[in-house]
Amino acid sequence: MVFLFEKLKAEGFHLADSHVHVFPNSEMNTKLLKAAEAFNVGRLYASIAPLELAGGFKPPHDEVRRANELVACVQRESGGLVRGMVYVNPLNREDLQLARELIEREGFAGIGELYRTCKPWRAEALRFFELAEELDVPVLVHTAHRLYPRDRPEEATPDDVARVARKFPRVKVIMAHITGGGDWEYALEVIRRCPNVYVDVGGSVPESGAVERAVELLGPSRVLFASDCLFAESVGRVESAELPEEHKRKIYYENASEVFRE
Amino acid sequence: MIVDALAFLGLHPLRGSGTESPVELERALQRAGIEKAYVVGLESLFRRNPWLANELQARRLTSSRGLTPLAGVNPLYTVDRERLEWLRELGFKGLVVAPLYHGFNSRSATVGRLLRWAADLGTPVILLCTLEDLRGAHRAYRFRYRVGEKELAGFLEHVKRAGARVMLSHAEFNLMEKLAGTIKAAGAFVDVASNTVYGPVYDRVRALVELFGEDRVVLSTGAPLNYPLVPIFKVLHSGVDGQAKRRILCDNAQEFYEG
Repeated sequence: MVFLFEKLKAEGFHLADSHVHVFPNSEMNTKLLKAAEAFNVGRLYASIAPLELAGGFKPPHDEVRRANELVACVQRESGGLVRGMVYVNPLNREDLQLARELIEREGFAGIGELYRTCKPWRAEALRFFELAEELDVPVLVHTAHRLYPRDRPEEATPDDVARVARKFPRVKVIMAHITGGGDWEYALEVIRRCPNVYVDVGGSVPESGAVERAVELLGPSRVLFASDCLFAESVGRVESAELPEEHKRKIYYENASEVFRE
Repeated sequence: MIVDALAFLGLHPLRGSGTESPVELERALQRAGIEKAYVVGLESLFRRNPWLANELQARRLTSSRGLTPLAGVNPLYTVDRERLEWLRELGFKGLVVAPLYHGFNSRSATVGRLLRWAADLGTPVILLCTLEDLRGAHRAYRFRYRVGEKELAGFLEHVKRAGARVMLSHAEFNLMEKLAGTIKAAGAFVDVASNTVYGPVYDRVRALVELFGEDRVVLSTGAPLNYPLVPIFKVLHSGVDGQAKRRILCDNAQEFYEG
């Protein structure tokens, strides 16, 4: 049995991972690159793993700078495999300038993953969407699709993503991991009429039907392959999905080329 | 050959799977390279009295070569030794107990009694530890989506006392890690179906092999509710050696069910 990700490799195509993280621990990064190679992932849009930062969900500017420098270093050493995404704490004023520098000078591909610091529609966060619009780069927003009681008041929900996406219709917004657990049906319905919102199919949850429903509601061009560091889960999900090969090709690599302007 | 130790068949009242007949399920599993699967009827998990659902399931599977029936049982309702014998006569190869669906605590005395009967009859028992699809956890019900530590420890005590052959299905990785000593002492099998048994880069399949041994880790997909290739890829890319992969993907399930 030959899977599509293997067939693509034979044809000289590679998967593009729209949402992945690198670690301060170099051993983890080695494992990450090895896993990416095993699944024929040839492009990783990577930010620092947010749980690895000192300062919790509101890291100080120095910590944010240090973390992004590490990503820049991994990008330089990866020989073109990794492209950085700028991690920012919207509450740090200096992070805006840092994001500009990393995108303009280091060639980072976008902003995010905007994590659990504050809602994306808060004034502090909106500055980063303005920057994304100016530089024409996408913004990846960590999004929770939970059903169980909420204990994370600053975490973005699909409604928050839709709200900010409507405010910036020219910014490509990636709503993270619809397959990370919870009510993906609702999440897809909420952003259906926001043509600038893309979804990624990263995360750990293998519930069937999610990828097919995303394609059905959003069309095949707004669904992005992503691992969020879980390659077997994400590739297994796309390979299992009952979709035509041309849709899977779009998900695996064609859509990312559009979003990240490769 | 790949053997799936736990898949589901039939209608789910809260969601469609697109794969509801035995033929459709068999085809879907075959597309993932699975030649043989042990399946429990979803109707049996949602009915308070699952007996009729089990009987219908047995009839539906009589002509299936690749699907072997498991019976969903509710220890709180109409279970006795005679009925377990009857299930065996109908061709069921194991009993699935699902505390999150049937609303019982798996360390209760009735579960202990069920395990003793199952041990006497040589029938394996599968404990379904997580309500994987959270969309099924309607807030109108008491909210409970996983078997907790105390409950699982109590269940395993029953298993030890009864000498029952048991598999923990869809159990969370952290829970299995925490109770590793108790699980091993009970001789239980564990599967890789939970979404918390992460694949690479986190290598939790290999961690399970290190915790429980390569002869105790089993492939279950939870298909068609879950995408079947996910757990298969987790095993294939786990970094364990070829023999361990073969055991997880095929031999261990056969050993668990066939004894």
